Amino acid sequence: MKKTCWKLFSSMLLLSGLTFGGGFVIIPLMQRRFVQELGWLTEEEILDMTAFARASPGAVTVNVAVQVGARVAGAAGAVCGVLGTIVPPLAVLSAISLCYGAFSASPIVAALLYGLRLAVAVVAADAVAAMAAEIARGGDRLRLAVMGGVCLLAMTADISTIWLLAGGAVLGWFLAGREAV
Amino acid sequence: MTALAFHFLYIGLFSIGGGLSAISLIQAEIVDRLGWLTAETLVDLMAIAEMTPGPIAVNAASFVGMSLYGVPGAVTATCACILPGCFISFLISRANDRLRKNGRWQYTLKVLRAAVAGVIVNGGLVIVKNAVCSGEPGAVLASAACFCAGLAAYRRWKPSPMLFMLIMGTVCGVLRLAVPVFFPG
Repeated sequence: MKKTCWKLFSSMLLLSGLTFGGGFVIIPLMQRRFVQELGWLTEEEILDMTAFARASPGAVTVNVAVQVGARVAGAAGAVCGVLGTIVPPLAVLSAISLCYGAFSASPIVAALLYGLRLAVAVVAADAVAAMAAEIARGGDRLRLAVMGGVCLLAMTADISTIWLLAGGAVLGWFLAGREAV
Repeated sequence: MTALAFHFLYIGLFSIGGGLSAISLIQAEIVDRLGWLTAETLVDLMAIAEMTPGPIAVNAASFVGMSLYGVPGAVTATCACILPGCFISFLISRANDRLRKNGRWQYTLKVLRAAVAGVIVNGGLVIVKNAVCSGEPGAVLASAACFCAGLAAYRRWKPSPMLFMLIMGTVCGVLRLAVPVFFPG
């Protein structure tokens, strides 16, 4: 239990500390860590948690971390997961608020941030490709179409992702009803 | 301090729909109404949020809390801001455990997962675009070369993602500092 909590905390600390650019990039990385490396969850569970996190107010990453933590180690896990997620930005931003001028003017900081951004892009591209391949391999044309459609709409149209997810859920609900009849 | 906690609790509760709605709430509450942040600092904060880890709302809370009350302020504001979301997503997750046996819900989830994957794929593309396509054409070319080389190395040796990000981040950063000719702009 203690070991699980520690692993959860350190995993989230590293993931959250290295995931620049925010948003959904961290999800495929969490999937790789918690599903493939640690075997705590299934691939589907992470995707479900992401949908629920997006439907709740606040930051997606934190909301997913709380669910993962609660699933693997109860209340203590939820606290550990969330702490791991918020400590890096908390520390970084506190430090920056103290020396904002020096931070934004330093060429060394700029170069390191540039390098890290590229590195995150590589890891994200690989993880995302694996995720898309997993859906494609399932062989369900409807799911493939939903994934492609949502991705295209998110890219081209100015629609908040929460409506895209809501649309997916409604579509699923109605199609399920039709199949049952 | 109580006011700080209260205001970020409010922002955490009503920032439904991600980063952008959080920013507009911070603008309305923290900048316009309370004057804890100037409009320019908020713009800077958005730029910082893009280059540092962490969600924008957490970043803003840490920054404002720190500049008002130091470390205790930063911790208070950040915790207040994430509390509502954690609580609500935990409840939804619990409700889902109950619904798990319902066949119709299961099918709904299946389609929903595909939609989530679509959103994540788009997120990945945006990250790659932002990392590679910034600056002058020469810089874009250099970034694209680094990206492709990195991707090839990552797929060839399949290292741990954490280790890889640290190493490649440092290498590309040093490269940019050492040979600025390749990275104009």
